[in-house]
Amino acid sequence: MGQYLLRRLLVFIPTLLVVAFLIFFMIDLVPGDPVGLILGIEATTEAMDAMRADLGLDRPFHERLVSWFADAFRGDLGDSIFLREPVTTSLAERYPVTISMTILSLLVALLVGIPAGIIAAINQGGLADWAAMVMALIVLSVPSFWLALNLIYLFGVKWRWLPIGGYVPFGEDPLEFFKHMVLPCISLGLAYSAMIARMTRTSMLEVLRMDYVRTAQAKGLRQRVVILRHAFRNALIPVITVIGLGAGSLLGGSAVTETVYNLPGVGRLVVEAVKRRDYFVVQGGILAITATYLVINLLVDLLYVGIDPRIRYD
Amino acid sequence: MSAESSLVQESTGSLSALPVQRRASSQMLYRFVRNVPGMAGLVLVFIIVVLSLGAPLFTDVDPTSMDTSVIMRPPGPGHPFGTDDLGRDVFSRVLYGGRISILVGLIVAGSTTLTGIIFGVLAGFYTRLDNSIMRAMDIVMAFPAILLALGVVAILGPQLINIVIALVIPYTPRSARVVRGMILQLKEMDFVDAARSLGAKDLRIMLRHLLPNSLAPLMVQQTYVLALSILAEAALTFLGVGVPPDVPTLGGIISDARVNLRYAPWLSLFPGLAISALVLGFNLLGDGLRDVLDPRMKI
Repeated sequence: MGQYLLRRLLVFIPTLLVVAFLIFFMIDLVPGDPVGLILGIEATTEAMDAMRADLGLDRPFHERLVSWFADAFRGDLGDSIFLREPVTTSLAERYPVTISMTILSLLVALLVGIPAGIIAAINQGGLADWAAMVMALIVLSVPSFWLALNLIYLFGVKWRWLPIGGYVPFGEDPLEFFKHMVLPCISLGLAYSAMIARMTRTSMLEVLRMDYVRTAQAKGLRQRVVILRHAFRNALIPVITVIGLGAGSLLGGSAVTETVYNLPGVGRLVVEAVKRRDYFVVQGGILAITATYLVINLLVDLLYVGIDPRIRYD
Repeated sequence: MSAESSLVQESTGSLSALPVQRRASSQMLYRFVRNVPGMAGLVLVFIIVVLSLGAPLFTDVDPTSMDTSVIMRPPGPGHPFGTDDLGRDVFSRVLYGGRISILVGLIVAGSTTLTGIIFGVLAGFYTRLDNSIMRAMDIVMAFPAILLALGVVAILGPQLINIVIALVIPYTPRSARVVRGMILQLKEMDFVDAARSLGAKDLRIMLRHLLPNSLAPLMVQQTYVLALSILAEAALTFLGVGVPPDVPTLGGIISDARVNLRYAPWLSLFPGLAISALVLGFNLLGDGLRDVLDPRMKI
């Protein structure tokens, strides 16, 4: 296990470094002059030079590269051009919102998707199977922001069961926190639950065909025991790998969901920064979310190895 | 054909009909037409494409013309989908807006087919390049797709061509993977050795032998990419970083509708249904193609 962890880290760290380099390099890829784009056409040369010096953009490439990485390592990602505060501060404020929403959405997706997939697999060809798969396909095809708007209208405006948006920190009021999280997590998690349901169903169907399942049934075990103790666990293994990959779509989808529900998260910060050409915030935000995604994948891989010892020896 | 069958009839002494030898492609067509999800998807896509591309045939209202006397009307006579807060006819806007979605989807899917083939064939065929190309693909896949698209738009600016680039980059690795997988399998086969022994150069083997046989799973994958890119473009435009707002797009209509959600919920309903129907159609089409082209993959 330790050896696998080491090998996995040897992949993780260079990947993170290359990702960070690409993010840093972003600003050099801007066609034209970033400072000119920020200040507008009427900016004077003095203003542009001043800003350039202020942002450190007048230094040579290798100097900027080294100091960017050195600063980033110490937690300094520059200052936001528009918000007048360090990028790290903005990110730190908003990161808990995004992370809690992502984790809760993942839970929603798992709690809805896995049972749906199992029920569909057990009833293969039957009504439950057909209904589940049709629902999954429809949910996958619906734009998440449109689903979110409709949910807001039904539950927030028409029936007034839930708030229409905004965020309440858990420490402040746990009940309000959850009430504000319900709709965003459903909007974000539902599409993902459809993917999980389909994956679980496929995996479960394969497992149910296996000889050891037939052995268990031949032994006279009740069908429920056969499924829960033998089939279910093995069927979940491929699903775990999909969880890691899907976390990316959840983290990316946070940009949309946070915008619709007015949540002060990293995703929405990035979107607004893109519109204002607040480059350092864009860099910091993408770096934070991508690093999170890489870490989640690392953890999922370790979990996968912990559950299925066969992988260790590959 | 008839000469063969009469010979067989003589030798077996029976008049039983032989199964008709069909070409593989018409066999697949036969199976596809009988595949319910696939045909449903095809019909759905066809209807929407006809409505959108032939928009002038179905409505004579200009999608950008504002008539302030009919602001915020619910669906009714003259305006089947109602009007928005500037008095524009939603039905017309949805029809014309669909054009952009379809166009972007097709361009992105077509481009990723090209880039996927290039990287996939190179990686699959040349083992020396495989590692580095796949590492590069892994790096691209390390970024969540929407964030990568946002990054590209931040760099290049919000224009249609940049949205396409922004979507081609994250979706290329999937296509490349599919092509590479097929090439890896196929290059070990005898027909490649046969071609090589006849003197075929690398390029000819790649283009004439390996690529045509890899197209099946790639086509399935590309219909899904098409569906995803329509959703992604709508999301980016909804966020305000997509296609500039003067052009009516489905995502843009929904974004405009957000402000008036309380009083005019129908404004976002119809463009959303349009996007959903289009994406659903392509998803069904993809499932149908998958069932037909490789029944083992059928779930």
